[in-house]
Amino acid sequence: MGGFWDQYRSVVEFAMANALFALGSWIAMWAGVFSMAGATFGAVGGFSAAYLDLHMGAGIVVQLLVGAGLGLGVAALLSVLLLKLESHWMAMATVALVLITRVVVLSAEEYTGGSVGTGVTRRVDLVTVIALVALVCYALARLRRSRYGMAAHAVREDAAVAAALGVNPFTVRAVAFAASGLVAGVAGVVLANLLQYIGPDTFFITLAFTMVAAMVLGGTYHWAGPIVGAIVFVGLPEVVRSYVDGVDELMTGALLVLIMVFMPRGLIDPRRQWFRRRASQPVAQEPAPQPEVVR
Amino acid sequence: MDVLAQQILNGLALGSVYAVFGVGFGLMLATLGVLNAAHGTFATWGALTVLYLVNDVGLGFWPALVLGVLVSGVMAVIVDFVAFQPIRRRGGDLLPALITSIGVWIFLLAAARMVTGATTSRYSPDAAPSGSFDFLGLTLGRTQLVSLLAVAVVGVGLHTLLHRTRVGAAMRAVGHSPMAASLGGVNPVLVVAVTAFLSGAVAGLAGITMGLNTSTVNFMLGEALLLKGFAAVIIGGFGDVRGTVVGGLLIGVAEVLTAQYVSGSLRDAVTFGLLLAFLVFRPRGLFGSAASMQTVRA
Repeated sequence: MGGFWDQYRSVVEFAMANALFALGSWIAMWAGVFSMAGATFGAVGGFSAAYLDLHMGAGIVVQLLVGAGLGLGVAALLSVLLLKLESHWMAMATVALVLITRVVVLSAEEYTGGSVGTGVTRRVDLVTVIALVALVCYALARLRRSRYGMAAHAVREDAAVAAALGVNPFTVRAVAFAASGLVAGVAGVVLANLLQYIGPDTFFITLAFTMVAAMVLGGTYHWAGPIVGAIVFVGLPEVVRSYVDGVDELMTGALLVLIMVFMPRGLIDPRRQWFRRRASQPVAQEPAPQPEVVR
Repeated sequence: MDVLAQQILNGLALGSVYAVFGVGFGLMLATLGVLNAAHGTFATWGALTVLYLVNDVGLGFWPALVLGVLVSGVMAVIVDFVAFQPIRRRGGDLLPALITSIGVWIFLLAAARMVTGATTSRYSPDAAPSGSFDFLGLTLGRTQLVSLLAVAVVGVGLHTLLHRTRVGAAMRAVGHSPMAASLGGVNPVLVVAVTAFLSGAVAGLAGITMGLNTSTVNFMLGEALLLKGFAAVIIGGFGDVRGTVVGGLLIGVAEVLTAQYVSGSLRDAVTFGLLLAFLVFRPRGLFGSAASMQTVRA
């Protein structure tokens, strides 16, 4: 067991950091907002953590609080700009945002180190990371059946009906987007501490793709989805790599396609029978069967 | 003045590569409803095919270009069949297809890195076009001429195909509503395959000319194209070949002029700033109509 931990400790740490990012994306998805902007909020958290560490020697608690606050603030500001867009344009706008983030990181040299990047003293351990994931999960589990949770679910399924029931879709989405910024900001701080070096490519399109792929892979209908997705998406290739070298990325790609083709709702799906029996509580209604369309 | 004119010409040549790629990317987005993250790898594999044929097999550049374009097109058909068809059949939305395209992207990018060994090379200078000539008092590289010709051929050809032929009408019909198209006697499976082929082939052509213009071919070649082509599609207004061409050329000129007169490090800032501004303030782009936004929503 000790050997196992020595070998896979960092894998678990990175899987959990990515789980935080995926949870951030999931919170936005909860209200029907497909966003890759987590990479941007991660950059905000990560680079502010690096700055605090380098110039003030601030501890992890301060870093996490600042990262969470700034992520929340930036997301709240951007939500005004982005949330008026129709969903697909919104998704593409978040991609554009991630592309611009890299430009900003490159030009704000005195804060980010520009193209060279910046070093970070590692101040988190595995326990802290797991505790953060657990904290987010606890909050989400409590919120699931709350007034807000129901409203978010309703907005995702049908915004017009939700509006007719007295829920303001814009407010619900704005809150979800801001909360996703908070979690992604925290994830950025964690990732910066784990990597001990961050540069302009750390919080770029690969991270954005990883977090949404992990989220959809795990399942977008339950908060456990993104965690399972991140473990499979980040952890499995690492395990494979220790046995066969060179094919891990080919496998990750193929696996992602296969799971999406055969399990379109992801690995964790509350609609599935096995979960229903366990949860023994009402779950989301089946949407009307789609007509078979061959495009 | 001469510097300005020369830089505008250089910008048009650079932009024509973005425009060609954007046309293929936009075709897949508007007709097949896939925001394809793997599209850049089609361009990479086209360029890698030409690299192999020219440098290792010793084929001439032009036959190699034709074969490279074919390889990219066939690759797109296979990818569409494996990764996008099952989702489309289920009546899926943009999101699951985007995720499978990310899977394909990871796969094809890793495969490209494996075959190249992550090294950078270029087409053998003996075989590929090189040198430059005077054009209206300005200097035009032969490689730049190739990409300008490519955008003319692809732009005019694809626009004519889409709007003047029966195949094009069928493609637009399938893009609008596959079910209505099949009721109208169109075979959607065939039309989808043709569309995927064209979209991949055009991406391959863009990748090959990109490798020619920058004299660098490596496994990352298509990634920059993907981002710039995406910007060209959105700025031009997607679902419209003319718009994408104008968008691509505009980005090319804006980048070169920014690098010349402002700062080389702000090139990307201009492109992606324009992209975000268009998405937020004019989502339909320069040429797009409200109707073309409906097709993707379905």
